[in-house]
Amino acid sequence: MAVINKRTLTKTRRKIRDIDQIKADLLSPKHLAQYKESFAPEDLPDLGKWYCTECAKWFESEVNLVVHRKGKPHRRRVKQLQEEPYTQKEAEAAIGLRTDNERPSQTMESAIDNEITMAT
Amino acid sequence: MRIETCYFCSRPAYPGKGIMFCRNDAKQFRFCRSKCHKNFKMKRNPRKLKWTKAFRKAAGKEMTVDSTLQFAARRNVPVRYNRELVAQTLRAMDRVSEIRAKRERVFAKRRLAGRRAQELAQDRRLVQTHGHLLPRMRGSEKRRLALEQGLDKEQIEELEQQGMVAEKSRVFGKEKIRQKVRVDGGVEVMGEGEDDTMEVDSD
Repeated sequence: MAVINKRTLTKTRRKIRDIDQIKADLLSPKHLAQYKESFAPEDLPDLGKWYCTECAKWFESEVNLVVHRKGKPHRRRVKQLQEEPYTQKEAEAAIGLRTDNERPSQTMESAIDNEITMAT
Repeated sequence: MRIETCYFCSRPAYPGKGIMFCRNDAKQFRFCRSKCHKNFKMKRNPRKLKWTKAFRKAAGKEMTVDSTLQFAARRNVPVRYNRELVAQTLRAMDRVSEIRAKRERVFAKRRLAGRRAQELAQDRRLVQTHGHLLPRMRGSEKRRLALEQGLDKEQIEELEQQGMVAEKSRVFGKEKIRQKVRVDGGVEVMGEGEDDTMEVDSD
């Protein structure tokens, strides 16, 4: 399958795993298992026996997988996975936006309540 | 209703602007414009693209440590409406953004200080290494010759060919002596004057 057109590659139906998902795969076997379960084995190359977790890719044979692991794209991906994945939180931190989940102070709430009761 | 922050470039995405992508693990990604969306689909890293806020922050191009940056927060707990509080907040927002703009200007000025000296040094280096490509006689010099001495175009060209008026490009700082081979084959020695000072320095 040789797709060179960028427009085709970026279609949502061709979506491949994101870096943060792969990172989660590496950290938790359950996460990876859930992903693998979402495919029927008969649809995968060689019944889904040869899978490279870092590159989220199935291979036809063990030889192919071993050769791939020695290749440049794989090593590049491993290096890419060493740093923390980018998150929405980081995007917000860049403009100085933090998250505040604290309840407003009780004294202020009660003060407002008093005002309302007095008014009625 | 909320003004969301773009996942990619951290620009505000107002309601009705941009696009949201929901991944099949229910994670949401909000993009302010198609540029950000396309870059996301190409799996680019926002930390490595110079036009994103994430990059600018990491590279020290923007003010990050400041008290005016502490006010904005995404609050997930609703606060009961209070007219006075809203009025006060609105007033504070104006004032804070005013102070912030002022501090950002100062920060940018400090960050770019010394830029002029750097550029000058770079230009000097360029003239020094590629001086042989410069015209032998300046346009103003030619005009002066034509006006004052009443020379023809051909005569001036002749003079230029002879290299009579050609100035030697100066050597700045502690540059070594170097020979230059001109385009027409002539050889020119530069920086002879600096020779003595170099020796003094080495002693």
